[in-house]
Order: sequence, then C-alpha cells, then structure tokens
Amino acid sequence: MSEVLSIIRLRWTMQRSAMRAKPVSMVMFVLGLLFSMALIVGTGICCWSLGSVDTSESNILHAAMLLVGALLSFGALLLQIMSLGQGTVLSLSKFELFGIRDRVLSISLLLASVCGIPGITILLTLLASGFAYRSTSVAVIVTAVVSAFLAVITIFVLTRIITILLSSVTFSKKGRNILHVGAFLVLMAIGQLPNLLGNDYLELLLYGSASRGVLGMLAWTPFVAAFQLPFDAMAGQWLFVAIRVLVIAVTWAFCHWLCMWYLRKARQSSGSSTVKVVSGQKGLGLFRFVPDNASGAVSARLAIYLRKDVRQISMLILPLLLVVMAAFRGANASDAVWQATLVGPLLVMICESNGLAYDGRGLYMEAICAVRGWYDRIGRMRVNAAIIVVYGMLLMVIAFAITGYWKTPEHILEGLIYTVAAMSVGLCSLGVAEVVSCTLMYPVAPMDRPFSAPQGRGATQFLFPIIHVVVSLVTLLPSILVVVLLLVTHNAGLMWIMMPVSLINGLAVLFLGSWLGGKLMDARMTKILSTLDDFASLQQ
Amino acid sequence: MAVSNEMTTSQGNGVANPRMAVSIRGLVKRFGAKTAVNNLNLDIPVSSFYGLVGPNGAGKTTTLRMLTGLLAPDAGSVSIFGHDVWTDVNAAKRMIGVMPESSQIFDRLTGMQLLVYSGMLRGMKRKESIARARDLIKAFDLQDSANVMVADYSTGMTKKICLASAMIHSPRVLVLDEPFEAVDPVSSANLKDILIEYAATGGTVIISSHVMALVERMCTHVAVIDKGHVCASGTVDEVAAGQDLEDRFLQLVGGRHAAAHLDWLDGGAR
Repeated sequence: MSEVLSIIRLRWTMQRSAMRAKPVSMVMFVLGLLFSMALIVGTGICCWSLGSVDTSESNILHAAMLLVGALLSFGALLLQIMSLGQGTVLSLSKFELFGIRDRVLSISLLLASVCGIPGITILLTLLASGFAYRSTSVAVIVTAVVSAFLAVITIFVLTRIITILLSSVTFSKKGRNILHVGAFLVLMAIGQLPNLLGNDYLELLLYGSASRGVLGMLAWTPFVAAFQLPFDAMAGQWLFVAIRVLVIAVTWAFCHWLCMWYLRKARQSSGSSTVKVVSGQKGLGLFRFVPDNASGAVSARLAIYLRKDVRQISMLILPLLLVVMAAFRGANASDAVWQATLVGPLLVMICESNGLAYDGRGLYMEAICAVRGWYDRIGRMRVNAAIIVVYGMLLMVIAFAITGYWKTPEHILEGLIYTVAAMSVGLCSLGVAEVVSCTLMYPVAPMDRPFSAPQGRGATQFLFPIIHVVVSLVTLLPSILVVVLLLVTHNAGLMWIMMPVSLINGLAVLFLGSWLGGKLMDARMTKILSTLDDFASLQQ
Repeated sequence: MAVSNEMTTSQGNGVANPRMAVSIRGLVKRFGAKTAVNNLNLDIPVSSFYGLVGPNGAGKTTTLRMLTGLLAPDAGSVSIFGHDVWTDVNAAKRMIGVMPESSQIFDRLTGMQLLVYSGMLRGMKRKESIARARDLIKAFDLQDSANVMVADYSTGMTKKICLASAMIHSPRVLVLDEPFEAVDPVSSANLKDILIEYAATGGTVIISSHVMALVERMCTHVAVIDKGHVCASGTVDEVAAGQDLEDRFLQLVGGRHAAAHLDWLDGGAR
C-alpha cells in the first residue's frame, strides 16, 4: 500500500515541480482546473434539472449517457494510439530499478494515472451526472455512484492496455506513421460527422433505431457497460447488472494479466530493439536533383523530411479530405467541392508557418554553416511551391471528376479559374508563412511522437496559426477586390481575368514574403536558436 | 607564451591579438541574474591543440557558443585570425568548423546525405562535397552505415558523423565540445589521430573536456575556466606547473573535500 501511495504522491510532486519551473504550466493547470470545474458543475446542474423528468425523456438520457460513454472510451483509446511512443513520466520502465513487485507496480501506476486531473474530472462529472437519478430509488443512485468509479477505472485500464499491446508489437517507423495517420483520419472524419449527417445529426444519434441498436450492443462490452448499469438498476434487471459487472471484472483481470506478461517480456527482450535500419535509399537521393548550392541543399533536406514527417503529412491530407467531404453536401455539392479547393492550401501552409519549429534544433546546422536567410527561404519556397502546384493539379482533376465540370467549356473555365485561384491562395499563404515562421513560433510535438502534446504554450499554438491565416487572407485582397469589381460591374463573363491577376498576386506575395523572411532570419538567428532550444526542452 | 594566472600583456590591454587563431577580450554573458561568462580573456595560438577545462557550469560551452557566433555576448569581443566574429558573423563562421551536438543535426538523413548537406550548405559544389564525404566516411570507419539514417546510429557513430560534418569544408579552426564523450576507445583513438594530423598541418583545434588525462595527452595548450573566467592558461606544462594536471586543476578550482564517512553505508561488512 505504501508503494501505491508513494507513486501517487510522486505524480503530484512532479506536477507541482513542473508548475514551479515554468509559470506557463501553472497557467495551463489553472485553466484546466477551471475547465474541469465548469464541466462538473455544468453536468451537475443539467442532470439535477433532469432529475424529475418523465419516462420518455429518461430514454433520451439513457441514449445520451451511452453515447457519452462510447465517445469517452473510444476517444481515449484513439488518443492513446496517436500518442504511441510517447514516454510518459509514469511508465513501467522508469521504476524497473526499484525492486517493486510487478503486481504492485502495475496497480500503483494505474491508480496514479487515475488520480490525475483528467481522471478526477471524469469521475466527478460522472458522479455529478448521478443527480439525474435523484427521483428514482436509493439502489439506482448507489449503482450510479459505483458505475462512475467502474467507468473511470475501466477507461484507464483499457488505455493502458492499448499502449502495452501496441508497444509489444514491433512497429517499424513507417508502420507507426501509418497508424498515426489512420487515427488522425478517423478523428477528422468524426469531426466532420455533423456535416455528413446533416443538421439533425443529434436527433439521429439519440433517437435513431440504428444508433440505439449499436449503443445497446456496445453496452455489453467493457467500453460502455459501466454507463448502462444505472439504467439496468432502474429497470430492476439485476441479473444484467451482475453480468455487466462481470464483463468489467473479467476485462480488468485480463488487462492485469496482460500487464504482468508484458513486464516479463520487456525484461527478457530489453535492449534488443536497437537494430540498425538501412535506408531504402542508396546514395544521395534527392540531393542529386536539386540545384547545386546551399538553397538546393535546404530543398533536398526539407523534401526528405516532409516525406518522413507524419506531423506534416497529416495536414497534407486535409485538402483532399475537405474536397471529398464536400462532395456529400447534397444539392450544393459542386460549389462546395470547388470552394474546398480554395481552403485546402491555406491549411496545408499552416505547418510551413511554423516550419522552423518543425525542423527543431536541426536549424543549428544552417547557423553553424552561415547560410544566409534568403537561401534558406528560397530552398523552402521551392519545395512548398512545388507541393502547392502539384497538389493543386491533383485536386483539380478530382474536383472535375466529382462535379462533372469537364462536360461544358463554361464549367471547364470555371474549374480552371478555381484551380489557379487555389494555387494563388497557396502561394500567398506560403509567402506569409516564410515571414511568420521567423517570428511567431510555437512548440510542436517531436517528430518521433507526432501526436503527443508539447507542454505549455497552448495559447500560442492556437493563436499563431490563426494570425497566419488572417494575414494570408489580407494579402489576397487585390484578387478579392478584382472579383468584387467584376461582380459589381456585371462583368462576370470577364472572370477569366482572375487567372493572371491571382497568379501575379500570389507570386508577388511569395517573393516579398521570402525576401522579408530571409532578412528576418538573418537578424534573428540567435534568438530563433534560443527559442528552438526552449521548445526542445518542452518536448522532453 | 607567458602563463597563466595573470593575463599576458596583449590580453591585459584589451586589444585582440591578430596573430592568434582566436583572441577573446573581456567576454561577458549573463543569463538573468547569473553571470555565466565574466570578463573572460584568452588567446589561442595558430596550429595549437587547445583544451578548455573546467567544472560543470564553469562557462566553457557558453564561451564556445559565443566564439562560434551562435550566441551574442553582452560585452567583449572575439576575433578569429584578426576578424571580429560579431562584426561579420558569417565570415567568421566560414573560417571555423563547429561540431554540432547530436540533437543539432537532421538525423533523418543518412550519414552520407548529412555530410553532403553540410558541404553544400557551406557553398561547396555537390561533386566536391560527395568526394570529401566519401573520404570522411572512410576515415571515420562509417562505410557500413553510410546509407543508414543517423537516427539509427549509436552515440559514438553519431559523434563521428557530427565531427565529420564539421570538417568537410577544411576549416582553419575546429571547435569541439566534449568530442570524445561516449565514444569507444578504438573510435576515440582514430578520432584523435585525425585531429592531431589536422593540427600538424596548421589547423587549430579547440576542445572542451572534463577528462584531464585526455587533455594532458593530446593538447599542446590548456585553459582552466572556473566561474566564467580563465584561472590559468598556457602550454600544458606551464599550467601544470610541475604537477599532475588533474591535481593542479583541483588546486585551481577547489571544491575537493574529504570522504563523507556515512555510518550506514557499510556494504554489509560490519
């Protein structure tokens, strides 16, 4: 028992130390605490008001609780998959020198993670949701309280076990990246669900017979079983309560056994994973094909990195995803698809607007080698402009195929105007990114843990990309003004003028941005390096 | 060169010595309330193998960062062959080769790619970069790993590729921060041979190290740095002053005390 308490105390001691070392951690902690309290109080008030509802509304509550349970469990698992490889402070390996028994260590670490702010918040929120049953019997309320504890522990047991299962399989870096991108796509698709299901999506999820059927089945799995318990108790189905508790207990036992197995296996195979991997690329790869100067070296390096950097590859998928999603918009699908091609490049260049932070301390090589900022910017511009043009063409082909605009000359012209405009958006966004990336930097996840959250600076991670997007839109004003002018003067037939106008607009902003970015980089290099050192310490 | 605990004449008058490979005058760097480098003066002769030694936090790495143009000093000057580093930082950088730390390289490139990248960044032509990269890979015994991502290298191999990337443009001064840390004895011996040969051809090597035996064996000159300034500098013999260099070092920086004699730490024998 003393080991369990020690590890829980250790968890909170480390939290306090982090806050003492970095004021921004304290700010984030307080904000997190406020959010948690708002969630708990909000849930409590909502459920209190539901406490005297009639049976028809208790059916909605039932569906809502199961839905929340499913989202909570699967969301936690998905996030765990995405942060695979993240070395948490409370990992099993950190305690292997202390001679703590495996069983005790495993339970201690589980309880320590439950005792964090997220675990306590979920627990108190679920307990607060128990107010919804206040007009029922004492037995139901007691079941709700017990089910809250069961639900929280089960979620943490499952997330822990998914880490162990995925870690025990020897993933190659490539395999791991594919897993990350897959999880990212699922999350994005879930985010787009309201668009796909239309405005009545909540009604569909809460009242739809299909969704109820699925939730009913999930209630027999450890993911959602705990959330079903109060409703079984309400219906007096105590046998179902017993079976579901048994499902949960068996899950815990199995996960505990799996954890013990993993600890034994890890001990036997410790250190055997340091195998050299010969790169598939013999020789110089892209370094052979770039211009023979410093900017060429920057281009080759950046292109090689982009191919291997899942953090940025995920963003590259977004424009395609947006176009495909827009195709399901019903009546206005064609317009939505072409408009999506305009938004995509803006999102893709968000990564480049923080490009130096994505490169990390590798930038020291350029600083050591006295590379002028202008050469760096040209090197980066070359690669990103190529991506914008090639990707723009690809999206054009897809958009033509989806909308059928290739059938008439008018529509072909419209499609071409959209395509050139989209490229112009990309070029403007790139030009702004070349300036912004030297000034408004924010920390990102390390390359080998692409979806882990870098500690602190949450506000900058949110604000700086918005600034980049807004400034990019401002630089597009000349093109926007010409469009407005053509429409106001009823000269929509001359819209083809937009092709050269937007192209000149994009190229001008790109050139100006790269030149200014180069100057800024030269002037701020030591400051940039110090900022990158700071970011690297946040990734530990 | 006169030694040591007192500054030489040129150091004393605060004017950089253009005959020196590196000449540092009145260098100061503060981080908040802490003064990391405190009025540091040092002359490093051409073709010397110069060791900077000092306890942890003495200011060695900060000094090297200011010397290599990676950190702006709060006061003082650094000149390389008479050129002030901070007047034209890029010109100074072109004269020196700095060994990056393992976290300061693009480790998703292969060893070969990293060296060619380093060469091309220095303005060398691709063909020349490739030829020199091949020579360096052979000299550092990395032929089998030339096409392996540097991220998959061992610590020692990474040190070697970092050193190679600092040498590819044949600099006049090499600056190495703890170059032999975590390098196996065989690789270490090979690295030392390369560096000694380089110094013999007129190159100047500046290393920082904690290993006194290594400094005593390899370096022609040494400077003991403590609390941000130079306690003693000169040839190794001059600084050692007839003693073992490690004893002399401990004498200069202090901090050595008697064993703690912890009663409970008995190894089970009592």
